Amino acid sequence: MEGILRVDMGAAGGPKASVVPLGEYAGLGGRAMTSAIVSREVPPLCHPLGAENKLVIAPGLLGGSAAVMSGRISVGCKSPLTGGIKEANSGGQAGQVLAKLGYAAIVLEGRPATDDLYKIVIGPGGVKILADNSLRMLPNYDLIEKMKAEHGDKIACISIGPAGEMKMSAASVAFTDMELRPTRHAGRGGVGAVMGAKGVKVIVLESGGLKFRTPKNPEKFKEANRTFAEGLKKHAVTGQALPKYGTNVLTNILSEAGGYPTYNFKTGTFSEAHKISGETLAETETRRGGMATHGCHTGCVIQCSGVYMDKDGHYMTKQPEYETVWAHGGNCGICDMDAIARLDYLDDNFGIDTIEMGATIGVAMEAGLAKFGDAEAAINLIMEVGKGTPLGRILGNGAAVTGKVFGVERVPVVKGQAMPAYDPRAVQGIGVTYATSPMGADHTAGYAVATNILKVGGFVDPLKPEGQVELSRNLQIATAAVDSTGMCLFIAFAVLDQPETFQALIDMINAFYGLSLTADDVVALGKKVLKMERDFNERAGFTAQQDRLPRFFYTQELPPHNVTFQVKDEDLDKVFNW
Amino acid sequence: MGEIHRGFLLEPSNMVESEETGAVAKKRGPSRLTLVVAGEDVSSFFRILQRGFYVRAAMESALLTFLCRGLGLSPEYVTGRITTIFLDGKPVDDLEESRVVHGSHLSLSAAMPGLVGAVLRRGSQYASFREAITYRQDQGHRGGAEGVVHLKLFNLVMEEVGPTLLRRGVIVGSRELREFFLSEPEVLTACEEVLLDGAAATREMLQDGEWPFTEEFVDLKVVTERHGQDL
Repeated sequence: MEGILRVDMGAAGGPKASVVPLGEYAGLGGRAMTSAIVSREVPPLCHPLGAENKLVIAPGLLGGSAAVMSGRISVGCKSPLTGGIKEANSGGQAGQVLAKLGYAAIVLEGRPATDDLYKIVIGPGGVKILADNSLRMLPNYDLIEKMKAEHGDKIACISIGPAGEMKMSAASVAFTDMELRPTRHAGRGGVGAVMGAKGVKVIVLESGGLKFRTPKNPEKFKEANRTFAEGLKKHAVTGQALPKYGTNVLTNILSEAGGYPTYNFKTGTFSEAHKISGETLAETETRRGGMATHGCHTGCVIQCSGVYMDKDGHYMTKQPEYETVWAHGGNCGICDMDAIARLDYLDDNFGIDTIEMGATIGVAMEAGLAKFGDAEAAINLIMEVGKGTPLGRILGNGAAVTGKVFGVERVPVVKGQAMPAYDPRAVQGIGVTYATSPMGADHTAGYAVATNILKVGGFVDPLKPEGQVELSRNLQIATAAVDSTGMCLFIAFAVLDQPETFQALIDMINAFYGLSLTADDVVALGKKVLKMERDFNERAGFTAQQDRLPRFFYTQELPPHNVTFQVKDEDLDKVFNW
Repeated sequence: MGEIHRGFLLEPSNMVESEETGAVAKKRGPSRLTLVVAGEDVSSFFRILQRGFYVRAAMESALLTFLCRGLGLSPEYVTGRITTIFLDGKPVDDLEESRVVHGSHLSLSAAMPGLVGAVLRRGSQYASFREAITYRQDQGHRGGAEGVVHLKLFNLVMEEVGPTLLRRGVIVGSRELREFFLSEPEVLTACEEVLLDGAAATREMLQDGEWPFTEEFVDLKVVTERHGQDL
């Protein structure tokens, strides 16, 4: 990846594109790239929807190569939802294609002088920026059909739906999958609103005839890639559970553990969990002619995705993920899988973060706008968002805004971002990550685990309560590093149990770039990324007070275990002491 | 998978104890439902295994003993495959120290994804993350020579252990079973034979009209062939 594509949307005479050398950003990819650019170039006190903010889209270090699992793509900016730095991550095809086109990042800068909406087309022949107001307020599925008609099917698209155009803080950036459907999303933190503020509706990447990026040491790369893929396939999680059931396999488990936030974080168990579990979902998909095993990007060998059909065998949506099934399911008391699939489709089509939307509807139900369990009402609320009605604009700006407007106390957010599908009162260590991550409440921020990474810097006794702080720190460091490679985070499970699989990942990076990285270097990269992000947030006005959970987690006991969040504030403040 | 020790897991009896009142009485109507299905249709009943069913346990025992002798699982399968276990809703770390008694709720799963999946795993090095909910054995046991355990099977364990337990027979709440057939009518449509207390019956008896089971629980068997089966 030789350069960065900078698109100045506010240039005199109209938007202009230029390709610049990597310079100080050489050697960075994914989250490391987006956080480096945002932390260095975006004034932390800027308005997120203003000209000074930048939207950075970056594939990972191994993007565009033959490395398995390397197709993730990062989207970074100052978040309109949290007010701090944001990196949101997605699957889909765009990461592979953008890297093969030779770009380490796209940076959207400035703001258009007019209200025109733009399409950007990037191909081997160059870059075109075209005003196209016929795209205005098109939902993502309709938009992609139009792009297919105009550009053929050898494309990958990055787009926003109506929510992004309306600059709602829950708006996502959509990425097309291998079937050219807009089903993968960089969901968190309102990145879609920033793309909307830049006046960009869609970026079309032309993928025809592109070749894999070439490693410096092809033989070693091939060997490491083979070892890595074998490790993933032989592991019970990555080789069996995830392909068979998808991420929603967690529904039964979390409900059983009493950590499944139900009825807007009121209880930790959902009595109807079995109706919306991954096991039931897979069986339904198979019976209806859908797919229970499916990859979201070329090179994925875990294949945790799927395709969900209605009872007549027609496409409804991609297989909903655990977070989506929880957010629109148990969190709202809904146990109808078809309704949840419909909600998932609407989120994808309008371009909304499913976690934020589900949490928001849960808060709305708590406020009395709908009854818990009323799927039809939940669908109607999302339709309000898509139409941009006054109620829709409130809901589309997330759980915190909705809670404030309707006077709700139990609003599960940190730094303004809604909490995902694990209650921190039951799994307190997750609460440490929710509270302290620069991203806000984020379940993937401290997700990657690696045995030898954890031993670097000292051994932590996992049985001591104070181990949670050290574990969260190490997990956040490891995750920041993995997010920079472009690797799907689900490699982490195999890496947890199989040190040789983690070593194969490092060997792949070394063979590709001709480096000699060690596990210590991976740790150093993760720390560097987190330091940049914490520094940005501090300059944006964040203090330790933002590294806390909402008060109700400390005072309201969560059934069935009747526990509250017990980690002390002074311990939370130690997470980034290294 | 090994043999289930029949002395360990009790056979269905003609007596029934009401969970609500504790009264014991002779059963009034049919109590056993046997369904003969094609092999690929056994999975249609897996939702029952997820929601939960009952097995009778002959004695208070260590969890490992219950799983091996009661459910007929090999120690290698238990330790290698069933890596996530909840006892009374709490994640278990020690198979020998944790004890199954009358009224225990037990859930079995293979290794789960995600950080939380790793956290909840038996013997996890991230166990501190869920310190507040980890299973700890009470020193005072409820005791009793025999009892009933509520069991749930999830994901790969459900697929691998479920068919054997369904063939052997499980106890299901009558109301829950009726709800299941009403919500999944195609399950009964796929049944090749229906037997009530061993006597031939029709699918319609379970779908339309009056539900034939008057007791609180039903002994359910799902088999793929009649030969050699005690129906």
